[in-house]
Amino acid sequence: MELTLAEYAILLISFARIFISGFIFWAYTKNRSKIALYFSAFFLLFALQGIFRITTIFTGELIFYFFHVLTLTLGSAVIFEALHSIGVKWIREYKATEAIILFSILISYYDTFVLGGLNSELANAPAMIITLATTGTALIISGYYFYLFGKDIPKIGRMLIVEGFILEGILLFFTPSLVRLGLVHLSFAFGFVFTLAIGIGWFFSTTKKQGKR
Amino acid sequence: MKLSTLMAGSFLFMGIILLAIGIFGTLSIQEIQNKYTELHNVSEHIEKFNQFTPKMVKLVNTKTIEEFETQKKAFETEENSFMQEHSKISEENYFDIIAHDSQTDKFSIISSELIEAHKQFLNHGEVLVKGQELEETQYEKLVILLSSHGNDGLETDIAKIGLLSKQTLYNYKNKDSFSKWLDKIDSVTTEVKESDITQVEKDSAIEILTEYKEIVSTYGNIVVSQKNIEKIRQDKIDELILLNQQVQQERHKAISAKTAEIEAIVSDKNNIIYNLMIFTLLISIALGILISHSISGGIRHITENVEEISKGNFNVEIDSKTSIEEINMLGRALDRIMKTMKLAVLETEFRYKNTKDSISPENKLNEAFRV
Repeated sequence: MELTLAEYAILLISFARIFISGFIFWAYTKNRSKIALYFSAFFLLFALQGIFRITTIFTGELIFYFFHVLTLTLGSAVIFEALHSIGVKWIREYKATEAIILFSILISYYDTFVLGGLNSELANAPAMIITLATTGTALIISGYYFYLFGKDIPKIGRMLIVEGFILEGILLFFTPSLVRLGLVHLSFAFGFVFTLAIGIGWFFSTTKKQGKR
Repeated sequence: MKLSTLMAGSFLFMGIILLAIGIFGTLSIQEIQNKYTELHNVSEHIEKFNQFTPKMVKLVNTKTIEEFETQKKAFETEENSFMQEHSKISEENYFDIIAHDSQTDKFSIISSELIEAHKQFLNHGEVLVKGQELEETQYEKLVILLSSHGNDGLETDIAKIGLLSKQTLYNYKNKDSFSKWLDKIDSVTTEVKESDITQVEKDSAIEILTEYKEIVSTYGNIVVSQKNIEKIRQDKIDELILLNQQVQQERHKAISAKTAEIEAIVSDKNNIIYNLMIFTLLISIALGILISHSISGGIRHITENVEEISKGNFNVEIDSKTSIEEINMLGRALDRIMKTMKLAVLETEFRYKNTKDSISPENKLNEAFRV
């Protein structure tokens, strides 16, 4: 089984995201913060979407492509729930999480079973843009709120997380263009860097508790 | 006491009272109905008795023996039937006025005497009719024999005999006419003996006059006797009518008294039922007040305390001490809730004071990075 550069990049970024997810989950076991739990889940889904993409490439089964799109877009819903846990009220007010879950299922079904999945990605650029932009937007918003409410987080960690989320989000906006140009591996490479930035930022932001009150 | 026990006990108690009123009312109605039935039967019986006097008067006014016997038979049949009914009513002892009625016996005695008198009267009447016929025949013979001699005095005396005959036989009120009649026959006999008629004619006339006197003497006595019988009969009729009037008056009084007695019973029963109803009403009101007081008193106490707690005063103790177990349980349960709430509020206040800063989004986010 010979892997292309892009597939290597996908695997690499997926493992990186699983590692980050595991790290944040470990933090959750310590602080029992819902925010940590949600971001752990997000990175896990973010990793799984890469793994499902690889699986789709190797098996050609549409259902894996469906899961690939679903895990990618559902990550947005998890981010929204995390933001709601921080205290962002409009998410519950406009039922953003519910809307994004419904949208995720519909767009996943549409991309997979209506448009034809992986093989028709290039031919259907608008659908791809919408799918990726959904998660991209969630990541940018996430970055914004980490910037807004992360005043108490150590500066380097905060900077890396905010920049990582925003750049990752922007990258997702440009991914369709990179794919069209045949630069998927580049897209994943940038994704790897930005994910790593978030992971490192989270690591630097992590502090020890002062003891129980 | 449990509320269910109190309610069930109250309803059972009221039910028993109402049942007692119902039974008493039913028995009272039955008793009054029986009394009225008795009164009705006795009234009808008395009415039948009252009809006997006019019937008796009608019976003793019959003119022939055949007519008398026929009506007497019907009367006796009716009387027997009445007496049977009378005995039955007396046995059943409907009223004292029937059971100990001597007037009925008196009526029977007078009736028997009256019937006997009338029977004798009718028999005498028949004899008198025959006597009258003999008298008329004999008188005509006398008139034929003595009127053709042109003796005016004798003719006048014979005419007087005829007049006295009519007065005696047809007008019983003239008491002296009978003796005058006999005297006149003797005087005519003397006149005939002293008259100038032939000896044969004298003998014939004296024979006729002798027979005539015998006839007159015989039937004249019967006439006198008949007059006495008629007097007795009339007296008996008057006595019977008087008795009937007395009976009617007495029985009317007795029935009025009995009616008044029944009305008094009705009034008494009504009073008892009204009193029982008022008693039931009062008991119902008392039970209602007792139950509502037992329930609402406890609930009011709890409500007042809860109202006080709603104002923020947690130092109120909800411990309802009523006779209703369920309300006491509710009070105790609420008291426990309030104590728990009080603790929760105090704890929340304590936590709020100590963790006020951690509620901000910044702190929430910061918390996610603490391990």
